[in-house]
Parts: sequence; C-alpha cells; structure tokens
Amino acid sequence: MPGVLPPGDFDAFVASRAKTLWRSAWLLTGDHQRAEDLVQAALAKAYPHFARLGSEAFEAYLRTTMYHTYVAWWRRRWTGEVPAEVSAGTTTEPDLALRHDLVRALAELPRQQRAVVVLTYFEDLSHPQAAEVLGVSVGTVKSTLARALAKLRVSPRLEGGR
Amino acid sequence: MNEDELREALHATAPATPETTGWAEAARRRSRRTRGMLAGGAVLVVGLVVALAVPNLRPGAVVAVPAAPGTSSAATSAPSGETVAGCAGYSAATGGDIPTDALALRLCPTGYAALQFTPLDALDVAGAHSVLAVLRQQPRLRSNAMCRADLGSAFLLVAEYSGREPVVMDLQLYGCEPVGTTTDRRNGAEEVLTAFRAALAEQRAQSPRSLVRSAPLCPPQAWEQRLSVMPVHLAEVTGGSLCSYESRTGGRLRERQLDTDAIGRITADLAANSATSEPISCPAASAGEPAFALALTTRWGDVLAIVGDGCPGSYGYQLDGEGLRWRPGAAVTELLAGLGR
Repeated sequence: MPGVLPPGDFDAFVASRAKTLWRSAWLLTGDHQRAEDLVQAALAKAYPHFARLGSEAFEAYLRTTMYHTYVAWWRRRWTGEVPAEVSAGTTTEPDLALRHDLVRALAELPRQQRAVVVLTYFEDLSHPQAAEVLGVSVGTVKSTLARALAKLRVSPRLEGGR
Repeated sequence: MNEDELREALHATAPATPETTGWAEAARRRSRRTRGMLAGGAVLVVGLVVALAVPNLRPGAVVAVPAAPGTSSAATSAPSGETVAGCAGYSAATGGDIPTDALALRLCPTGYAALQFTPLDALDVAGAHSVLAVLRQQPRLRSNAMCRADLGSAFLLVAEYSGREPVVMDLQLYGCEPVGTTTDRRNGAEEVLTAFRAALAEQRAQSPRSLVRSAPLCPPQAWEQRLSVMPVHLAEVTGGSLCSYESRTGGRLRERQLDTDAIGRITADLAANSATSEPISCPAASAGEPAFALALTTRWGDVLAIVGDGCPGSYGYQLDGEGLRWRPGAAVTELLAGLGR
C-alpha cells in the first residue's frame, strides 16, 4: 500500500531533510543546541503520522509542527535568551559581523515575527503558504511581517545601510 | 537593509549543519515515551470528560473536548483525520490514459490536505465528463520538467465506474501543478480544480440533497483551520459552532453549536462589518490568552472558518478567494462573549 512507508524510510527522510530543517531552526533560535532540540522535538511529535502521510506531506506537517512548537515554547523554555553564536567573540570580518548582527537583531523580534521573517525570506514561502504553516490568516502574516521589517529597519544592530 | 539584502543575509548566515546520524532513532524513542505518558493521562481525561459530557448531550450543549496538554499538542492533535466519504480506499495515482468519462468523479484530499479539507460530494456523469474534458485539454508535462517541491495542497481525482477498477489521478496545487495518471501527467491542476468547482456548483444547484456532518466543526487547536474546496457564501450558511480554546497554543477546546438566531445575527454582522484585510497594528497577543474561532457550515458540509487574527476584536476569513477582516458590532460582540463563557 503506497500510503504506508516502512520505518527505514523515516531514517532516510531524516537523513535527507534534517539539516535543512536545522538551518531554519537555527535562525529561529540562534543556538546550535536549541535548534537541534527544536528539530528533534518536532520529529518526535510528528513521527506517529509519518506512515500515514508519506514523506512529502510529512515534510509540510513537520515544518508546521516545528514552527508551532517554536512559537508555543516561548513561555516554558528559552526565556531570556540572547542567541548570538555566529562568532564566539568580536570579529572584524564584514560578512561575519553582519551575520552576527543579523542574528542578534532577529533575536530581538517577538517569536511570531521571527517565524514569519524566516518563513518568508529564508524558506521563501508566499504569504498564503506562511499563513498555512502558522495557522493564521494571510492578513496576520502581512501585518506581522510589516511590523518585523519596521523593527529590523530601525535596529541599531543593522544600522549603516546594511 | 532592504528585503533582498535580508533574504541574502539569512541564507548566508546559518552556520555549518551538525551531524544528524541517530536523529531518526532518537525521535522514535522520544515519540514512544511521550505517547506512553499521554496514553496514561488520556484514560483519566477521557473518563472525566465522558462523565461530564454525557448528561449534556443535547442541541446547543457545551461539550468539552480534551486536547493534549502543553507542547505535546501539535502531534497528538494533528487535525483529526476526518474520513472523507468515499475516499477511504484511494491512496495513490494509477497508470493508464486519462479517461473521457466516469460514473462519478471524486476529489479526495491526500497527505496533509486530508487532515484539513472537509468532505466533498462526488460529481455525477455530466460533471465528470466536463471536468475530464478540461483535464485532457491541459498540456502534457515534460518528463524532465523541473518542479519545485513546495508546500501546497494535494488531491487525488478518482474516476469511478461500475464493474471496473477506478482510475486514480494526482492533482497537486504546487510545483508544476501536475494533474493526471502516473503515465499521462498534465500541467494545469488549478484549471482542473476550477472546472471541478464549477461543475459541482451546477450539480448542487439542481439537487435538493444535502450532506450531514457528523464530525466536530472545530479543529483541535486554535491555529488549525478547516478548509473547504468549494467557496462558501454567507447566504448559504445554515449552521456552525463557536470554538473556544483555553489558549492559543494548547489546552481545552469547547465547541458550542450556534442556534438559528445566532447564525442569522452573525452572518448579518459579517456582511455589514467586513472589509478587505489590510495590515493593521496592535499589541502582540500572549500565547497563553484564550482564543476563539467560528466554524460556519452550509447544508453541503462546506466550512467557512473565521479565526482571530491576533488583534483584539478582529477576525480574518476568506470569502470568494478574498481575505477579509471582520470587526463584529457591539451586539454580536456581546453575543459571542456570552456564548464563549
């Protein structure tokens, strides 16, 4: 039956997709360990549905689960975070400095705004697609993104035309 | 920093990815542990809910539906997987030519879409003929076409016959938008879906039948939405429920059926106080705050989902493909507050 996949396929799915998900998770959390924890939590939650959904639909479901887990955990965990591990110390290398500042600027956004920014500009999803992932209306995505961009534009970390 | 620079910077920013060996097994172990704990808790919760709910099983009664606690909600509350009538036996496209006719033509959501979309009635012979004609007019998809694997809804289009095997076709609303059998794939899923909607609307207009929904209207979590393939018009709404969630991210759901008077007042207010959804600003809502949604339904079982859009007293919904924002008037705000208590 095509809809039911053997357990080995889950291993193959994780091997092929986990790194991509981890990159999104890292942009959300700004931290290696928390990113891994987020992906692992989403995988564990979504795993029981793998056989029923098949790998393609499962990826969409897993992504939705990961973003909801991220937004939902803000009160329970990860409070007071100051994620900035692009560089362990200061750097004079321009690109690395920009990454450092960008991650810190992202970290100062509320979680939903950060999620919308990552979905839109890193995962390249359209507004309706981002709305579907986050389970909100398209209008909410647009207004959340507008607020996030407004904050990023005036962020002192991103000043200087970068 | 403009939007292009932001996009470029995000792609350049993420560091080298870690080794993921063992993640699959770790996820399986963690999942088994979580489910084991939830199963134990669920026995207690279900028993308590049954004891509370059974005396209240009457029209308009409030029935408490347990949701998985805390952050375990996403997996255990995957949309309930409501069975789509007539679609249960189909799981994948078959090969062969695209047919010209069928006794019935079904559109079956598959994969994640099966968890979101409400059941749909099948097209009869005439409708099937017109939709299959549109399908065959679509251009063939090149075997080497580069299609983006993206988020989007996927369906199976099933041509059924008497006394012979059905022909099962894919219809995917993403990537190259393929539609057809595994050996005859065309590019034009959106066109075929539009034709299906038109044929079903015509068929429904000529039929006095209706579908009776047995599944709950409210999705298990505030952030989920029931979707309908067919557009819903306010004049067609015949019933609905108020969905009250303990918080935006989890907790208990209370589904309260709306009576005819409430439906009339709500739909009139929707017509009077809705406007095109433009971005607005408001203080960020707390994830722990209660959340409300409305799920309105037609006699065909199509659902119009109206969800809070994050700003107090403001709701969003889609009507005829357009995103609208609803700010209920004072009387309906009071009505909803009363129902939500």
